[in-house]
Amino acid sequence: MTGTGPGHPYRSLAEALEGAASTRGKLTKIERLAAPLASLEGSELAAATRLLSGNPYAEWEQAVTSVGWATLARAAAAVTGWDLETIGASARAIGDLGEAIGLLVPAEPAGPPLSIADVDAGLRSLSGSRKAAEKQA
Amino acid sequence: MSGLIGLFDARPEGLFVPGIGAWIDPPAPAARAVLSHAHADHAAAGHGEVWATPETLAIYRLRNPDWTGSARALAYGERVAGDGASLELLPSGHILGAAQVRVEGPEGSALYTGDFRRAPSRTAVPAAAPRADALVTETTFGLPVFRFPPRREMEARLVEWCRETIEQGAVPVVLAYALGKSQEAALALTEAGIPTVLHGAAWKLLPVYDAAGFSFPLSRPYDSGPATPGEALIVPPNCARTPVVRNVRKRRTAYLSGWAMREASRAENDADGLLPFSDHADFDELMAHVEAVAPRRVFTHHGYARDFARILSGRGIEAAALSEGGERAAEDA
Repeated sequence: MTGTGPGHPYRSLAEALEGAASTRGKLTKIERLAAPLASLEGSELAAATRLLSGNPYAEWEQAVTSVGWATLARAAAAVTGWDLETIGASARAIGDLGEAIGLLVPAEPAGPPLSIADVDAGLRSLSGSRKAAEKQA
Repeated sequence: MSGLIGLFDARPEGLFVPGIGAWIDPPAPAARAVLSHAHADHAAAGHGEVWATPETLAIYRLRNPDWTGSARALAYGERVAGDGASLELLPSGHILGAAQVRVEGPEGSALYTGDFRRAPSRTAVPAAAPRADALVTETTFGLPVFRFPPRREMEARLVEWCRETIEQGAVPVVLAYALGKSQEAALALTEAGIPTVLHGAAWKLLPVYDAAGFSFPLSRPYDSGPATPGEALIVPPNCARTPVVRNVRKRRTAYLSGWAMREASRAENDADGLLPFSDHADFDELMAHVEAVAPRRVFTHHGYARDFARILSGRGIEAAALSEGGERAAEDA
């Protein structure tokens, strides 16, 4: 998945989450999570809030990604060039598949950066897709 | 796996060199032990005779004050002839005095890395990479998720983090293993003009560093009093939840280790900051060492032994794991 152009960068949410995780103070956590939201509005603000909460879909949607560890690992193998066994061992070593993938992919990915709208749209397409191969791609 | 690896005999009790009659880094007391370095997971207590570099022997004696065995100091490159084989210690770049063990005989040569690191550090002689037919390599960080930022960058981040903490009116608490990283961190902070208070386990080793030409003019022992504003406190990670750290009311804690690549290590060590600062080779250095030594066979042990052997095999290099691996092997990582 690559970025499509306009829209606030998803990176701002990722950095806010990392910033919140790295501090102990509750007030500081709140400040760091609120910071990227301050410049958003409308559907982008709604999407960003859901993404920060950990659930990409509104409660009334009752949608799920149906993406399990295996699909995600295969997608990671395709992106990183590492085999599934190394992906699995790396995930166990780090304690989290997502964090391990972040350490295995190049620091600066090719293509334009993902926007919040891109990520929201991507997650919606996952919930609408039934085939594992489509989800993996 | 047991059996001969060129000139090493891999037995259930450890690695034995028949031509020299010595065990290498045996985990249990041995009649004759060649020690690659003085970390406890390689330098067990109670050996009858210990061969090692002078610095390793000095640290071994400080850490095992009741030891009554005999010692043979070997300088880097000094060859010892045995029965059909010769042995020499070569720099490993891990900590002060750390060595790789190279054995050579009519049937070829074998190199045991011990713990090693290729990039330069402040106190360790950089690892040599002699050719060998068989290579026995540590694989503490033998997965591609373990790729460390350059040491100089980590030192700069450590200094910046300490300065920020001091400016906030708090004490920087640096969690670093007592032998190796504590001294490296103290030297980096000394260079930046930041005084340090060292835990006793690190402080007592300073005479060995002093004899090797390293001085710590801005460091003092924890026994002389707790850290005061403007000082950084350096303690082993297992002190993170002890009164030594908890009694520092206003503090920020940084964890210095290769394991700091894992976000989980933040909570595990009650740390505010993570700095991947290791005395071990990361994945890329492990691969580079294999390429430089160019062995016909590679044997892996410690850490991610099976995974690294599998990765090497996938690249057409004959490799096998000596140990199960797959776990965090070394406390000193």
